[in-house]
Amino acid sequence: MAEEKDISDELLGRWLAGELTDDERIEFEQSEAFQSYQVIAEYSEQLEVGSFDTDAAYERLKEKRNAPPKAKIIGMPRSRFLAVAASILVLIGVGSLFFLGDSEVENTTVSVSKGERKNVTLPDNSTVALNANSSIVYNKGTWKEKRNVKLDGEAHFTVKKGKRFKVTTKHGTVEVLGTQFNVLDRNDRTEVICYTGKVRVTDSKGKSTILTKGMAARMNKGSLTDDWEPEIKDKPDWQLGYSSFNNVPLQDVVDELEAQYDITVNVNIDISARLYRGFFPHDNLDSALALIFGPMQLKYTKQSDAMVVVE
Amino acid sequence: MKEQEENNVCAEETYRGLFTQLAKPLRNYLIYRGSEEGQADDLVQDAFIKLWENCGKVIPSKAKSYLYTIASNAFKNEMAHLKVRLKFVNANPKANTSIETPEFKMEEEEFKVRLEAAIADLPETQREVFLMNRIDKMTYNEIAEALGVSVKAIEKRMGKALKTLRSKIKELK
Repeated sequence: MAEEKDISDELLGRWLAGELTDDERIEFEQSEAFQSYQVIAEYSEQLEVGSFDTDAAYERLKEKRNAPPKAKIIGMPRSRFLAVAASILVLIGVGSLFFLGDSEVENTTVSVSKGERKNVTLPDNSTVALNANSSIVYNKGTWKEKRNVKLDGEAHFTVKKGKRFKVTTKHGTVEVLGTQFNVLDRNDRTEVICYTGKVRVTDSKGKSTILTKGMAARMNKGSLTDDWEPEIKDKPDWQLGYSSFNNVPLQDVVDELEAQYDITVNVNIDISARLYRGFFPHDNLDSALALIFGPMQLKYTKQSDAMVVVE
Repeated sequence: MKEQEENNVCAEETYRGLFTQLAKPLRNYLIYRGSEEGQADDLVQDAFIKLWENCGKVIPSKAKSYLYTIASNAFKNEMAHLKVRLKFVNANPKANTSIETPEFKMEEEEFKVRLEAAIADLPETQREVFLMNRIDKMTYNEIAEALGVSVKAIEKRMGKALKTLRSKIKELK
Protein backbone atom coordinates (compact mmCIF):
# COMPACT_ATOMS: atom_id res chain seq x y z
CA MET A 1 0.00 0.00 0.00
CA ALA A 2 1.50 3.28 -1.08
CA GLU A 3 2.01 5.58 1.85
CA GLU A 4 0.74 8.99 0.86
CA LYS A 5 2.41 12.07 2.23
CA ASP A 6 1.30 11.87 5.79
CA ILE A 7 -0.81 14.39 7.58
CA SER A 8 0.89 15.85 10.66
CA ASP A 9 -0.06 14.58 14.12
CA GLU A 10 -1.35 17.94 15.13
CA LEU A 11 -3.52 18.38 12.05
CA LEU A 12 -4.93 14.90 12.48
CA GLY A 13 -5.70 15.66 16.11
CA ARG A 14 -7.47 18.85 15.13
CA TRP A 15 -9.42 17.00 12.46
CA LEU A 16 -10.87 14.65 15.06
CA ALA A 17 -11.97 17.63 17.13
CA GLY A 18 -13.57 19.19 14.03
CA GLU A 19 -11.19 22.11 14.08
CA LEU A 20 -9.63 22.03 10.63
CA THR A 21 -10.14 24.94 8.28
CA ASP A 22 -12.17 24.15 5.17
CA ASP A 23 -9.05 24.01 3.01
CA GLU A 24 -7.26 21.69 5.38
CA ARG A 25 -10.31 19.47 5.67
CA ILE A 26 -10.94 19.20 1.94
CA GLU A 27 -7.35 18.25 1.29
CA PHE A 28 -7.37 15.66 4.04
CA GLU A 29 -10.64 14.12 2.87
CA GLN A 30 -9.06 13.30 -0.46
CA SER A 31 -6.35 11.15 1.05
CA GLU A 32 -6.65 7.40 1.12
CA ALA A 33 -6.15 7.25 4.85
CA PHE A 34 -9.08 9.57 5.51
CA GLN A 35 -11.70 6.83 5.36
CA SER A 36 -9.71 4.62 7.69
CA TYR A 37 -9.45 7.39 10.22
CA GLN A 38 -13.13 8.02 9.87
CA VAL A 39 -14.17 4.48 10.77
CA ILE A 40 -11.74 4.48 13.66
CA ALA A 41 -13.26 7.73 14.91
CA GLU A 42 -16.77 6.44 14.46
CA TYR A 43 -16.28 3.11 16.18
CA SER A 44 -14.06 4.35 18.97
CA GLU A 45 -16.86 6.69 19.95
CA GLN A 46 -19.08 3.71 20.69
CA LEU A 47 -16.71 2.26 23.24
CA GLU A 48 -17.40 2.18 26.93
CA VAL A 49 -15.97 0.84 30.15
CA GLY A 50 -17.83 -0.73 33.05
CA SER A 51 -20.82 1.16 34.38
CA PHE A 52 -20.55 3.48 37.33
CA ASP A 53 -23.25 4.54 39.79
CA THR A 54 -22.29 8.06 40.81
CA ASP A 55 -24.91 8.45 43.55
CA ALA A 56 -24.05 5.15 45.21
CA ALA A 57 -20.36 6.02 45.03
CA TYR A 58 -21.03 9.38 46.64
CA GLU A 59 -22.88 7.74 49.51
CA ARG A 60 -19.90 5.45 50.09
CA LEU A 61 -17.60 8.43 49.96
CA LYS A 62 -19.61 10.16 52.66
CA GLU A 63 -19.33 7.08 54.87
CA LYS A 64 -15.57 7.09 54.46
CA ARG A 65 -15.38 10.77 55.22
CA ASN A 66 -17.18 10.04 58.47
CA ALA A 67 -14.46 7.72 59.62
CA PRO A 68 -11.36 9.66 58.70
CA PRO A 69 -8.45 7.45 59.67
CA LYS A 70 -6.28 10.50 59.88
CA ALA A 71 -8.30 12.26 62.58
CA LYS A 72 -6.28 12.10 65.73
CA ILE A 73 -8.08 10.33 68.50
CA ILE A 74 -6.82 11.53 71.80
CA GLY A 75 -8.24 11.99 75.24
CA MET A 76 -8.66 15.49 76.55
CA PRO A 77 -5.85 16.76 78.74
CA ARG A 78 -6.80 16.40 82.37
CA SER A 79 -6.81 20.08 83.32
CA ARG A 80 -8.83 21.08 80.28
CA PHE A 81 -11.15 18.19 80.92
CA LEU A 82 -11.93 19.42 84.41
CA ALA A 83 -12.49 22.95 83.23
CA VAL A 84 -14.88 21.81 80.55
CA ALA A 85 -16.63 19.45 82.90
CA ALA A 86 -17.13 22.21 85.41
CA SER A 87 -18.56 24.65 82.93
CA ILE A 88 -20.88 22.06 81.56
CA LEU A 89 -22.13 21.24 85.01
CA VAL A 90 -23.11 24.84 85.41
CA LEU A 91 -24.56 25.14 81.98
CA ILE A 92 -26.49 22.00 81.38
CA GLY A 93 -26.49 19.99 84.56
CA VAL A 94 -25.66 16.34 84.77
CA GLY A 95 -27.07 15.35 81.40
CA SER A 96 -23.78 15.62 79.72
CA LEU A 97 -22.23 12.25 80.38
CA PHE A 98 -20.52 12.65 77.07
CA PHE A 99 -17.90 14.92 78.47
CA LEU A 100 -18.02 13.50 81.95
CA GLY A 101 -17.84 9.93 80.82
CA ASP A 102 -15.05 7.82 82.17
CA SER A 103 -11.80 7.69 80.32
CA GLU A 104 -12.74 4.55 78.37
CA VAL A 105 -15.06 6.61 76.20
CA GLU A 106 -12.71 7.97 73.64
CA ASN A 107 -13.40 11.37 72.23
CA THR A 108 -12.50 12.27 68.70
CA THR A 109 -10.51 15.47 68.48
CA VAL A 110 -9.99 17.27 65.23
CA SER A 111 -7.50 20.11 65.37
CA VAL A 112 -6.60 22.61 62.72
CA SER A 113 -3.32 24.43 63.05
CA LYS A 114 -2.52 27.96 62.04
CA GLY A 115 -2.83 28.76 58.38
CA GLU A 116 -5.06 25.74 57.72
CA ARG A 117 -8.72 24.85 57.36
CA LYS A 118 -10.59 21.61 57.59
CA ASN A 119 -14.02 20.16 56.96
CA VAL A 120 -15.29 17.52 59.33
CA THR A 121 -18.30 15.32 58.76
CA LEU A 122 -19.97 14.20 61.96
CA PRO A 123 -21.58 10.76 62.37
CA ASP A 124 -25.03 12.03 61.29
CA ASN A 125 -23.58 13.83 58.26
CA SER A 126 -23.81 17.22 59.88
CA THR A 127 -20.73 19.09 58.83
CA VAL A 128 -18.32 21.43 60.54
CA ALA A 129 -16.03 23.78 58.68
CA LEU A 130 -13.17 24.56 61.03
CA ASN A 131 -11.32 27.84 60.77
CA ALA A 132 -7.57 28.08 61.41
CA ASN A 133 -6.23 27.44 64.91
CA SER A 134 -9.44 25.77 66.08
CA SER A 135 -10.47 22.37 67.32
CA ILE A 136 -13.54 20.33 68.05
CA VAL A 137 -14.08 17.34 70.28
CA TYR A 138 -16.97 14.95 69.88
CA ASN A 139 -17.80 11.37 70.70
CA LYS A 140 -18.84 8.86 68.08
CA GLY A 141 -19.95 6.31 70.65
CA THR A 142 -22.61 8.48 72.19
CA TRP A 143 -23.45 10.52 69.12
CA LYS A 144 -26.79 8.83 68.56
CA GLU A 145 -27.97 9.89 72.01
CA LYS A 146 -26.22 13.23 72.25
CA ARG A 147 -25.03 15.43 69.46
CA ASN A 148 -22.53 17.37 71.50
CA VAL A 149 -19.47 19.14 70.19
CA LYS A 150 -16.93 21.07 72.16
CA LEU A 151 -15.42 23.92 70.22
CA ASP A 152 -12.26 25.89 70.77
CA GLY A 153 -11.84 28.61 68.17
CA GLU A 154 -14.22 29.17 65.29
CA ALA A 155 -16.38 26.91 63.15
CA HIS A 156 -19.33 26.99 60.81
CA PHE A 157 -21.86 24.26 61.54
CA THR A 158 -24.36 22.79 59.11
CA VAL A 159 -26.59 20.59 61.18
CA LYS A 160 -28.83 17.82 59.90
CA LYS A 161 -32.32 17.72 61.33
CA GLY A 162 -32.56 15.49 64.37
CA LYS A 163 -32.09 15.56 68.09
CA ARG A 164 -30.81 18.62 69.83
CA PHE A 165 -27.36 19.59 68.64
CA LYS A 166 -25.19 21.33 71.15
CA VAL A 167 -21.96 23.25 70.81
CA THR A 168 -20.12 23.99 74.01
CA THR A 169 -17.37 26.56 74.31
CA LYS A 170 -15.45 27.87 77.30
CA HIS A 171 -18.02 30.60 77.72
CA GLY A 172 -21.40 29.18 76.86
CA THR A 173 -23.48 26.85 74.75
CA VAL A 174 -25.36 26.98 71.50
CA GLU A 175 -28.19 24.54 70.89
CA VAL A 176 -30.05 23.87 67.70
CA LEU A 177 -32.37 21.47 65.93
CA GLY A 178 -31.21 21.64 62.33
CA THR A 179 -29.60 24.71 60.95
CA GLN A 180 -26.48 26.55 59.95
CA PHE A 181 -24.57 28.76 62.28
CA ASN A 182 -21.11 30.05 63.04
CA VAL A 183 -19.56 30.04 66.48
CA LEU A 184 -16.43 31.95 67.36
CA ASP A 185 -14.84 31.66 70.78
CA ARG A 186 -11.46 33.35 71.01
CA ASN A 187 -9.93 35.05 74.03
CA ASP A 188 -12.79 36.67 75.95
CA ARG A 189 -15.02 37.05 72.95
CA THR A 190 -17.76 34.66 71.80
CA GLU A 191 -19.82 35.37 68.71
CA VAL A 192 -22.67 33.36 67.21
CA ILE A 193 -24.34 34.03 63.88
CA CYS A 194 -27.38 32.07 62.77
CA TYR A 195 -27.71 31.51 59.01
CA THR A 196 -30.79 29.31 58.83
CA GLY A 197 -33.14 27.76 61.38
CA LYS A 198 -33.14 28.68 65.03
CA VAL A 199 -30.52 28.49 67.77
CA ARG A 200 -30.49 29.20 71.46
CA VAL A 201 -27.39 30.79 72.96
CA THR A 202 -26.81 30.48 76.68
CA ASP A 203 -24.03 32.28 78.51
CA SER A 204 -22.12 31.09 81.52
CA LYS A 205 -24.58 32.77 83.89
CA GLY A 206 -27.54 30.98 82.39
CA LYS A 207 -28.88 33.98 80.53
CA SER A 208 -30.07 32.94 77.08
CA THR A 209 -31.31 34.37 73.84
CA ILE A 210 -32.87 32.82 70.73
CA LEU A 211 -31.50 33.63 67.32
CA THR A 212 -33.27 33.06 64.02
CA LYS A 213 -32.03 33.50 60.48
CA GLY A 214 -29.81 36.54 60.09
CA MET A 215 -29.45 37.22 63.83
CA ALA A 216 -26.27 37.35 65.87
CA ALA A 217 -25.23 37.36 69.51
CA ARG A 218 -22.01 38.22 71.25
CA MET A 219 -20.67 37.42 74.68
CA ASN A 220 -17.86 39.12 76.48
CA LYS A 221 -16.13 36.97 79.08
CA GLY A 222 -19.12 34.66 79.09
CA SER A 223 -21.82 37.34 79.46
CA LEU A 224 -24.28 38.08 76.69
CA THR A 225 -24.14 41.66 75.48
CA ASP A 226 -26.66 43.33 73.21
CA ASP A 227 -24.46 45.79 71.42
CA TRP A 228 -23.63 43.78 68.34
CA GLU A 229 -25.41 44.03 65.01
CA PRO A 230 -23.02 42.83 62.34
CA GLU A 231 -23.75 42.77 58.67
CA ILE A 232 -24.66 39.15 57.96
CA LYS A 233 -24.05 37.52 54.61
CA ASP A 234 -24.95 34.00 53.59
CA LYS A 235 -21.75 32.56 55.02
CA PRO A 236 -19.25 33.52 57.72
CA ASP A 237 -16.72 36.09 56.56
CA TRP A 238 -13.83 33.69 57.10
CA GLN A 239 -15.30 31.36 54.49
CA LEU A 240 -15.51 34.24 52.05
CA GLY A 241 -11.80 34.85 52.32
CA TYR A 242 -11.46 37.50 55.00
CA SER A 243 -11.97 38.28 58.69
CA SER A 244 -14.02 41.24 59.80
CA PHE A 245 -14.24 42.91 63.19
CA ASN A 246 -16.72 45.25 64.76
CA ASN A 247 -15.14 47.03 67.74
CA VAL A 248 -13.06 44.08 68.76
CA PRO A 249 -9.95 44.22 70.99
CA LEU A 250 -6.94 44.73 68.75
CA GLN A 251 -5.21 41.80 70.40
CA ASP A 252 -7.97 39.50 69.06
CA VAL A 253 -7.37 40.86 65.57
CA VAL A 254 -3.64 40.23 65.89
CA ASP A 255 -4.32 36.68 67.11
CA GLU A 256 -6.57 36.06 64.12
CA LEU A 257 -3.93 37.45 61.79
CA GLU A 258 -1.39 35.04 63.28
CA ALA A 259 -3.85 32.16 62.90
CA GLN A 260 -4.69 32.89 59.27
CA TYR A 261 -1.16 33.48 58.04
CA ASP A 262 0.73 31.26 60.47
CA ILE A 263 3.07 34.10 61.37
CA THR A 264 4.31 35.64 64.59
CA VAL A 265 3.42 39.21 65.35
CA ASN A 266 5.43 40.87 68.09
CA VAL A 267 3.61 43.84 69.51
CA ASN A 268 6.02 45.96 71.53
CA ILE A 269 3.51 48.40 72.93
CA ASP A 270 0.40 48.18 75.09
CA ILE A 271 -2.63 47.68 72.88
CA SER A 272 -4.92 46.23 75.52
CA ALA A 273 -7.31 49.18 75.44
CA ARG A 274 -7.54 49.52 71.70
CA LEU A 275 -10.53 48.43 69.67
CA TYR A 276 -10.51 47.69 65.97
CA ARG A 277 -13.22 47.94 63.35
CA GLY A 278 -12.45 46.73 59.86
CA PHE A 279 -11.40 43.62 57.99
CA PHE A 280 -8.39 41.90 56.51
CA PRO A 281 -8.10 39.46 53.57
CA HIS A 282 -6.67 35.96 53.97
CA ASP A 283 -4.70 35.90 50.76
CA ASN A 284 -2.52 38.98 50.95
CA LEU A 285 -0.42 39.60 54.04
CA ASP A 286 0.81 43.02 52.96
CA SER A 287 -2.65 44.36 52.45
CA ALA A 288 -3.83 42.68 55.65
CA LEU A 289 -1.10 44.45 57.64
CA ALA A 290 -1.91 47.78 56.04
CA LEU A 291 -5.63 47.36 56.73
CA ILE A 292 -5.11 46.50 60.39
CA PHE A 293 -2.28 48.71 61.51
CA GLY A 294 -2.83 51.63 59.14
CA PRO A 295 -6.13 52.79 60.68
CA MET A 296 -4.72 52.17 64.18
CA GLN A 297 -1.77 54.42 63.30
CA LEU A 298 0.74 51.80 64.33
CA LYS A 299 4.10 51.30 62.67
CA TYR A 300 4.94 47.80 61.60
CA THR A 301 7.93 46.12 60.01
CA LYS A 302 7.86 42.82 58.17
CA GLN A 303 11.11 41.25 59.28
CA SER A 304 10.57 38.07 57.30
CA ASP A 305 7.71 36.10 55.83
CA ALA A 306 6.93 34.74 59.26
CA MET A 307 7.66 37.67 61.55
CA VAL A 308 6.13 41.10 61.93
CA VAL A 309 7.09 43.65 64.56
CA VAL A 310 4.66 46.37 65.63
CA GLU A 311 5.61 49.43 67.61
CA MET B 1 -14.77 40.56 48.58
CA LYS B 2 -17.67 38.82 46.92
CA GLU B 3 -15.59 37.27 44.19
CA GLN B 4 -13.75 35.25 46.82
CA GLU B 5 -16.92 33.53 47.84
CA GLU B 6 -16.27 30.45 45.74
CA ASN B 7 -12.56 30.39 46.34
CA ASN B 8 -12.45 26.92 47.75
CA VAL B 9 -14.34 23.66 47.47
CA CYS B 10 -15.45 23.32 51.08
CA ALA B 11 -19.16 23.86 50.50
CA GLU B 12 -20.99 20.55 50.27
CA GLU B 13 -22.79 21.61 47.05
CA THR B 14 -19.53 22.59 45.38
CA TYR B 15 -17.86 19.40 46.47
CA ARG B 16 -20.76 17.18 45.47
CA GLY B 17 -20.95 18.97 42.12
CA LEU B 18 -17.31 18.12 41.49
CA PHE B 19 -17.95 14.50 42.35
CA THR B 20 -20.94 14.23 40.06
CA GLN B 21 -19.02 15.80 37.24
CA LEU B 22 -15.60 14.21 37.68
CA ALA B 23 -15.86 10.87 39.49
CA LYS B 24 -16.74 8.82 36.43
CA PRO B 25 -14.24 10.32 33.99
CA LEU B 26 -11.57 10.12 36.68
CA ARG B 27 -12.37 6.45 37.28
CA ASN B 28 -12.30 5.81 33.55
CA TYR B 29 -8.98 7.60 33.26
CA LEU B 30 -7.45 5.22 35.78
CA ILE B 31 -8.89 2.27 33.89
CA TYR B 32 -7.36 3.56 30.65
CA ARG B 33 -4.05 3.65 32.43
CA GLY B 34 -4.46 0.02 33.34
CA SER B 35 -6.22 0.03 36.67
CA GLU B 36 -8.65 -2.72 37.57
CA GLU B 37 -12.18 -1.41 38.16
CA GLY B 38 -12.39 -2.04 41.89
CA GLN B 39 -9.00 -0.47 42.38
CA ALA B 40 -10.07 2.53 40.28
CA ASP B 41 -13.16 2.94 42.50
CA ASP B 42 -10.96 3.04 45.59
CA LEU B 43 -8.48 5.46 44.09
CA VAL B 44 -11.28 7.82 43.11
CA GLN B 45 -12.66 7.72 46.64
CA ASP B 46 -9.23 8.34 48.11
CA ALA B 47 -8.64 11.28 45.80
CA PHE B 48 -11.94 12.87 46.77
CA ILE B 49 -11.24 12.34 50.47
CA LYS B 50 -7.91 14.14 49.99
CA LEU B 51 -9.78 16.93 48.27
CA TRP B 52 -12.22 17.15 51.17
CA GLU B 53 -9.43 17.28 53.70
CA ASN B 54 -7.69 20.02 51.77
CA CYS B 55 -10.81 21.76 50.54
CA GLY B 56 -9.70 25.13 51.86
CA LYS B 57 -6.53 25.11 49.82
CA VAL B 58 -8.02 24.15 46.47
CA ILE B 59 -9.80 26.68 44.31
CA PRO B 60 -12.62 25.19 42.21
CA SER B 61 -10.94 25.77 38.86
CA LYS B 62 -7.92 23.75 40.03
CA ALA B 63 -9.91 20.91 41.55
CA LYS B 64 -9.89 18.83 38.38
CA SER B 65 -6.13 18.81 37.89
CA TYR B 66 -5.71 18.31 41.64
CA LEU B 67 -7.86 15.17 41.55
CA TYR B 68 -6.21 13.74 38.44
CA THR B 69 -2.76 14.33 39.88
CA ILE B 70 -3.59 12.72 43.22
CA ALA B 71 -5.25 9.71 41.63
CA SER B 72 -2.55 9.32 39.04
CA ASN B 73 0.26 9.44 41.61
CA ALA B 74 -1.55 6.98 43.83
CA PHE B 75 -1.99 4.65 40.90
CA LYS B 76 1.70 4.78 40.00
CA ASN B 77 2.41 3.43 43.44
CA GLU B 78 0.15 0.44 43.02
CA MET B 79 1.33 -2.66 41.26
CA ALA B 80 -1.29 -4.08 38.95
CA HIS B 81 -1.35 -2.58 35.50
CA LEU B 82 -3.78 -4.50 33.35
CA LYS B 83 -4.61 -4.35 29.71
CA VAL B 84 -7.54 -2.07 29.18
CA ARG B 85 -10.75 -3.95 28.66
CA LEU B 86 -13.36 -2.12 26.70
CA LYS B 87 -16.65 -2.97 25.17
CA PHE B 88 -18.87 -1.50 22.53
CA VAL B 89 -22.06 0.24 23.56
CA ASN B 90 -23.94 -1.34 20.72
CA ALA B 91 -22.99 -4.93 21.40
CA ASN B 92 -25.30 -6.45 18.80
CA PRO B 93 -23.78 -5.85 15.43
CA LYS B 94 -25.97 -5.36 12.44
CA ALA B 95 -25.94 -8.66 10.59
CA ASN B 96 -23.16 -8.95 8.10
CA THR B 97 -22.09 -5.34 8.22
CA SER B 98 -18.64 -4.96 6.85
CA ILE B 99 -16.06 -2.25 6.85
CA GLU B 100 -15.01 -1.12 3.42
CA THR B 101 -12.32 1.47 3.03
CA PRO B 102 -9.42 1.52 0.61
CA GLU B 103 -7.28 0.14 3.43
CA PHE B 104 -9.65 -1.92 5.55
CA LYS B 105 -11.83 -4.66 4.17
CA MET B 106 -13.31 -6.85 6.86
CA GLU B 107 -16.42 -7.78 8.81
CA GLU B 108 -17.53 -5.23 11.38
CA GLU B 109 -16.99 -7.76 14.17
CA GLU B 110 -13.42 -8.31 13.16
CA PHE B 111 -12.79 -4.62 12.87
CA LYS B 112 -14.05 -4.09 16.40
CA VAL B 113 -11.80 -6.79 17.79
CA ARG B 114 -8.81 -5.29 16.04
CA LEU B 115 -9.65 -1.80 17.14
CA GLU B 116 -9.91 -2.91 20.76
CA ALA B 117 -6.64 -4.78 20.59
CA ALA B 118 -4.92 -1.84 18.94
CA ILE B 119 -6.19 0.57 21.60
CA ALA B 120 -5.00 -1.73 24.36
CA ASP B 121 -1.59 -1.70 22.73
CA LEU B 122 -1.30 2.08 22.46
CA PRO B 123 1.42 3.74 24.51
CA GLU B 124 -0.14 4.94 27.74
CA THR B 125 0.08 8.66 27.03
CA GLN B 126 -1.76 8.19 23.75
CA ARG B 127 -4.32 5.74 25.06
CA GLU B 128 -5.42 7.80 28.05
CA VAL B 129 -5.91 10.93 25.98
CA PHE B 130 -7.61 9.10 23.14
CA LEU B 131 -10.13 7.38 25.39
CA MET B 132 -10.81 10.47 27.50
CA ASN B 133 -11.91 12.09 24.29
CA ARG B 134 -13.74 9.18 22.67
CA ILE B 135 -15.45 7.64 25.69
CA ASP B 136 -15.82 10.48 28.17
CA LYS B 137 -16.35 13.02 25.40
CA MET B 138 -13.93 15.41 27.04
CA THR B 139 -12.75 18.27 24.84
CA TYR B 140 -9.02 18.72 24.25
CA ASN B 141 -9.23 21.73 26.51
CA GLU B 142 -10.71 19.71 29.32
CA ILE B 143 -8.14 16.95 28.91
CA ALA B 144 -5.29 19.45 28.84
CA GLU B 145 -6.59 21.02 32.03
CA ALA B 146 -6.95 17.68 33.80
CA LEU B 147 -3.49 16.45 32.87
CA GLY B 148 -1.74 19.78 33.20
CA VAL B 149 -0.39 19.86 29.65
CA SER B 150 -1.02 22.15 26.67
CA VAL B 151 -3.86 21.75 24.21
CA LYS B 152 -1.23 21.45 21.48
CA ALA B 153 0.22 18.43 23.22
CA ILE B 154 -3.23 16.84 23.31
CA GLU B 155 -3.75 17.50 19.60
CA LYS B 156 -0.47 15.78 18.84
CA ARG B 157 -1.15 12.82 21.07
CA MET B 158 -4.57 12.36 19.49
CA GLY B 159 -3.07 12.48 16.03
CA LYS B 160 -0.36 10.02 17.02
CA ALA B 161 -2.96 7.72 18.54
CA LEU B 162 -5.01 7.72 15.34
CA LYS B 163 -1.93 6.95 13.27
CA THR B 164 -0.88 4.13 15.55
CA LEU B 165 -4.36 2.64 15.48
CA ARG B 166 -4.60 2.83 11.72
CA SER B 167 -1.32 1.07 11.15
CA LYS B 168 -2.01 -1.54 13.86
CA ILE B 169 -5.37 -2.40 12.35
CA LYS B 170 -3.78 -2.76 8.93
CA GLU B 171 -0.87 -4.85 10.10
CA LEU B 172 -2.95 -7.22 12.19
CA LYS B 173 -4.05 -8.99 9.04
